[in-house]
Amino acid sequence: MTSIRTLPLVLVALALGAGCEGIIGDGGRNEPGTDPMDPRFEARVWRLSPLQLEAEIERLFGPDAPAPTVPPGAAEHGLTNIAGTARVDTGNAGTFVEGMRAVGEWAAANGAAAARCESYGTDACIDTFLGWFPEAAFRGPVTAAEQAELRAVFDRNRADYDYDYAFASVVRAVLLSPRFLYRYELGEDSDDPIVELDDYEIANLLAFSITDRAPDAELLAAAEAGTLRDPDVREAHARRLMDRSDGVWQRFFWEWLEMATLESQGNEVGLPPALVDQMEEEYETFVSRVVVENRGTLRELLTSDQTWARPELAEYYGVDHPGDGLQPVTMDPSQRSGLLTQGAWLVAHGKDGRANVVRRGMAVFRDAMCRNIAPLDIDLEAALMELVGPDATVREIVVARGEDGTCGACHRLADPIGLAFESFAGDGRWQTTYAADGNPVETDITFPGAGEIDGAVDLSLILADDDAFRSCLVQRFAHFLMGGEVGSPEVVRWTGEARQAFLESGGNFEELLVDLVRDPAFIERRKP
Amino acid sequence: MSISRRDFAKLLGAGALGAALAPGLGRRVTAQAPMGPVRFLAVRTPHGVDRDWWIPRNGDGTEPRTDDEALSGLTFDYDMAVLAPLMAWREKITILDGLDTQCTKESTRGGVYPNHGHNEQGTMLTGAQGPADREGNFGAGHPSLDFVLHARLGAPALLTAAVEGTGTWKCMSYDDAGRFRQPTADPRMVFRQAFPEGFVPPDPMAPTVDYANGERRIFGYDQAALEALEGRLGEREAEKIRAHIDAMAALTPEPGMGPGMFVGACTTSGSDVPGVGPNVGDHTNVPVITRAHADVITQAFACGRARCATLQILNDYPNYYTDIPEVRASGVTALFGDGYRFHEDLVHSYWGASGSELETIRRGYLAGLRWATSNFVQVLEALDSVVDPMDPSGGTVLDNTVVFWHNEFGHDGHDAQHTRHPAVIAGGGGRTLRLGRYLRLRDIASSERVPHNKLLVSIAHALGQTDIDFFGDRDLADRAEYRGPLEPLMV
Repeated sequence: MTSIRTLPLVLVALALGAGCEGIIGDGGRNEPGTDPMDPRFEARVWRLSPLQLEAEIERLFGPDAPAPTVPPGAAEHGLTNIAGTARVDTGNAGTFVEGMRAVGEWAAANGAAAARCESYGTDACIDTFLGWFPEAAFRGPVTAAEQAELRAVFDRNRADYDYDYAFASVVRAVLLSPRFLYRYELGEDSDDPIVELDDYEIANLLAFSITDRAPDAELLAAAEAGTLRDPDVREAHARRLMDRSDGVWQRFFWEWLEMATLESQGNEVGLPPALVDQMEEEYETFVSRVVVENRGTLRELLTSDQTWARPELAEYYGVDHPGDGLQPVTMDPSQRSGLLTQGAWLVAHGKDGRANVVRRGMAVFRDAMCRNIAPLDIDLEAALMELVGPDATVREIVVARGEDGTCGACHRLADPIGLAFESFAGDGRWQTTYAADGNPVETDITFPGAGEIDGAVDLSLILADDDAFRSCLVQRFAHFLMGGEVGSPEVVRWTGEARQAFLESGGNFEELLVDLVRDPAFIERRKP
Repeated sequence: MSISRRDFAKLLGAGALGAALAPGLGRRVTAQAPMGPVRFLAVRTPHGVDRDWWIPRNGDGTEPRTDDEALSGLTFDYDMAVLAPLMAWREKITILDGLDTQCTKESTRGGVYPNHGHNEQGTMLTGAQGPADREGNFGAGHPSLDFVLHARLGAPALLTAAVEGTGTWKCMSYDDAGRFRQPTADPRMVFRQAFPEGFVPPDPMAPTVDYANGERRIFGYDQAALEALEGRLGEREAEKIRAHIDAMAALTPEPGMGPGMFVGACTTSGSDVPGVGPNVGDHTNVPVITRAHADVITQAFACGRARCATLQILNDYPNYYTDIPEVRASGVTALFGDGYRFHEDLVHSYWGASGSELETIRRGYLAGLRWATSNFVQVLEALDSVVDPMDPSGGTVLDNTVVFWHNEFGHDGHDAQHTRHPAVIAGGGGRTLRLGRYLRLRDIASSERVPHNKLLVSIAHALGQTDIDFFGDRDLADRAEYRGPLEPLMV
């Protein structure tokens, strides 16, 4: 084993990874029969996410209205709010129906305030209500036929039941309509194979994608003026909406970097829940400050030694804290720099024992660098025990796993990345020796194209300039923004150009967003 | 499924609740039989089982002498018996010995990801061969049984709960496009899905207003526009709109249907949110969260808020079984070290071990499975603790629920096999499914196979859906051995 221990760990050239399934960017779109070079989506409808739905109810009726609890659709690559999978069907429709029933009953109980009318219980009130509510809920113009049908729902139910039920009926009919529950991306009804979205559809796409909220007054005014097909106008709105994009960027990095396990892993490694909450708060603050407030870059996200913490979290990091509450603190730059060295990411991919190398290595290599690796149900650990014995060091296990004929194809690429994070225990605390056996932590690896590096601070710096990492970020962000796979920058023009803009801007996130929404593919749809 | 989506929608619109109120549907009903609407709950625990320590035995330790015996004459009270905690429940359960997920071995088409062992989790309720993509979806036409029954029975919510253990490849429930339905790990959220904030239990004494016509107008709003929209979309997108229309049709009540169905009291209101959250932390919380989920499901069943549910009690990771005191006391730490892993070291190593090492592994492994049984007992206790408000005979919710407990794979000389799947039926089969029985479905040592699809059909029949003669993979619908119910299980 001594000879193994002294071997330098080398991330072999990616070409040698042919046995590891998947390539950088894992290919293009997954729609059979479509041109992988054509990034345009088919005309579609996109259901509001649970978060968006909650915000919509609040927008229409205020914060006291009951928020429906509806299930999300299935995720893709950890990304939620996917257009293709979120829908209303017989499995979940009851939840929508019950939720909207509660909103309708609440609106009736709140009468004039909810209806925004003078005297609830009158014909004039329902006229006033129908004058604003459907258009507001549908986030665009309402046809005369739609208005008339809604009025008919009211009139018929008023004839058979009481006013409250009839009023709530209108609320419920609107809130259960696909025009409210879904965003439409249809374009004009023409015979052209490619159509542009109409201005209201573009306004909705921009607003929900960038802010998780409905279009504001300025966007609706632009839609009414018919200017949103102009890329300069879209760019101006995208830059303006960046100020309100905190939640979206927080969700993107959280999902792309597969951090939803923070709470469960925090429990597993024995961290107090309050400290885990502070890690999440730190993460959200850090992303907001770097990406939105400072209009920052990938390099800053991955290498900044400044973060925001409360005293308990600062103590966990072993750094000074200026006083009470959430404050800016400076990390020890020899230990931590950027998102991947903060508690939230480390704990989300942390575990007691010797599994951290695989978990963190795969979290970067597979999830953050877009290698599509299928899980294998193979008891590699048991096999390794036979190879290296129970007293093997972490590094010896890594080397042996990399030499395995089946699993090694991927692990010899991913594990060294995980090894670079070994200065952090499963609970994310700094360690120089392993608590279990007292062996010293070794974090020196060789990264292709970068040579020998030592530890997560070095690795973060390398990743900020790494082609695979940056390409994956662009691919996943486009997927996230559009609610569906756009495709790899290696294959698809749209994401390829977005990557170029991203790189030319020094890895600026706002410029990445702007380039994506300026592109014709943002507003063009293929007819079925 | 052997019925088309459109037929399905027609059935949905045809007053599915009516079926629920006609117990028995022509099958023999004893005077003591519970008379509430039948519900369905599927429960899953991980890690497979060794069938030889899972079956009931005679007092002398021998296997049951015949293929069909009363559990009252058999015992789980023997050394290392997995089902020992079920001893007191023998009258309300049936043990199915020799069931196989044979469909996973049919390989009738390419592009399926059967993998071995763990992927069969999704197969258990879909009856399909394996996931059709890397995300673990089964593809169009392969919904899970809970989804189909829910759609037919028409309750407000289809509950999909999990004690942690969520994950792409480990789901139990799939929609009619075969997409996995992510389970909800927080009992408070499951509760809210069943009971909206403002929900108040119906007063059986209060005069009722029949809102069926009003509801029909609400759910039918803008139908013409939706149909026009369908025509502007490609097949995949149009299917969303069709699903929306079908779902609204399914929930539209028939005139005369309403809260009058209650003969007793539903006492749960929207403010009765459970106090237990989703954080497991360590193994001691697993029974607590399991019970919280089971209580929510029981309340939802009792109040007519749900008719179908799934409950997944842990995935394989994180490996809470590792810290169970009885497992550790078996000596496995001496064998594998303090950082041993239950699944890898005990489940997988079990089959290559021998001698005293095998004895130690077996003792630890079976202690873990016995703990899983005790968690399942939590579910039975919750269901049996509430008198069914909709049952004039005074039965409990358990008496009116078909509970199907299984895990993701069987063992047959090796771990993670498609054969000898452990399956326990509990509760409300009293009307149409035989309870209190040990049923050996085939010669255990032979290569004969009994597709578990037949069990899915049996459950569908128990819930009144007797037109379902096949449930499972579309390529197997015409195969006689996959059709019809498990006759030995049926009354």
